[in-house]
Amino acid sequence: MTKTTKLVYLALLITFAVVIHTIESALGITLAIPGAKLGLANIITLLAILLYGFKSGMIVSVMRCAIGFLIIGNPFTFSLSLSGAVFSTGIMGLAFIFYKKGLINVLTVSILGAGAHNLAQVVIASLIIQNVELITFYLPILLLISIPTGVFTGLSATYLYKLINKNYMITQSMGDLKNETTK
Amino acid sequence: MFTRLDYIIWIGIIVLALGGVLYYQQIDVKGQSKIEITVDGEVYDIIPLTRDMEDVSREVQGFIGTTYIEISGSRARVTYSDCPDKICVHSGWINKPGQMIVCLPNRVIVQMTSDMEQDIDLYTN
Repeated sequence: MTKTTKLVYLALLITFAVVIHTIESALGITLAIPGAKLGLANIITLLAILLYGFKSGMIVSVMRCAIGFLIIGNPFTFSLSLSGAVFSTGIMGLAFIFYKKGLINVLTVSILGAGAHNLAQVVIASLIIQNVELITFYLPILLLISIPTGVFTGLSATYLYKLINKNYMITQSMGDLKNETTK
Repeated sequence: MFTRLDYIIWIGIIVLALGGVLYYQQIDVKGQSKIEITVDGEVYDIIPLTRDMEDVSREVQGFIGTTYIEISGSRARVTYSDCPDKICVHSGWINKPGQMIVCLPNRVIVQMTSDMEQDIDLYTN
């Protein structure tokens, strides 16, 4: 029962992420710096990590990129978004361990994720275009941008998490999962 | 809510980022500046910038289409590109050595370089 509940909620999270991902790329919201993005889909990834742990977060982010690729149909954007998503989810999963021990704040987890996302994208971009200077030119600005965007996604995810914690079905599926992992 | 480790990470990122940004702000503008156009890792054209130079425009055949580059008054910009996101067009003008306009889908780079930072170029290569 609870396994199915988790499956359903993960599928819902993936759907939200795909929609946000698609809308964001369709709107083409570019901040002052070209290539910088709000990374709104990171909210859902962070939420999935907070709710169900690292593995589910990775599933959500990879599925989001894969389905987003089917909708947007740009292999170039896909390679960039997939590398960014996998790397940032990996870093957020690592940071999540520290968060659970109470060593860092959720916002720091989110900022590290946003920074990792930008780092991976710039590195992949410079590999594609075969220019190393791209990294040194863009990375500082993108890192600076990742702080406000990271705070924004982090705050959104925490508020969503607090709201969702009032939902009995979800908290039950979370609780039983925790029991399953301890068994 | 925030621990000491939080502050260390935040300040670390800000210092790293600001350092990098300031480094690019302070690059010496002296010396001969030139515009370097690269397609797919190969140099397509190098245009030296001089005072009172005439406007130059270039049509570069890239990976997926054509990129139109305009050089005017010792600055450069991409006026049109066949790429889907048009990030290169939105980048606007570049007028300082070290700055670059990148069109990733078309694999075109328009970069301003100068003789003064030649040693840095060699180092990063």
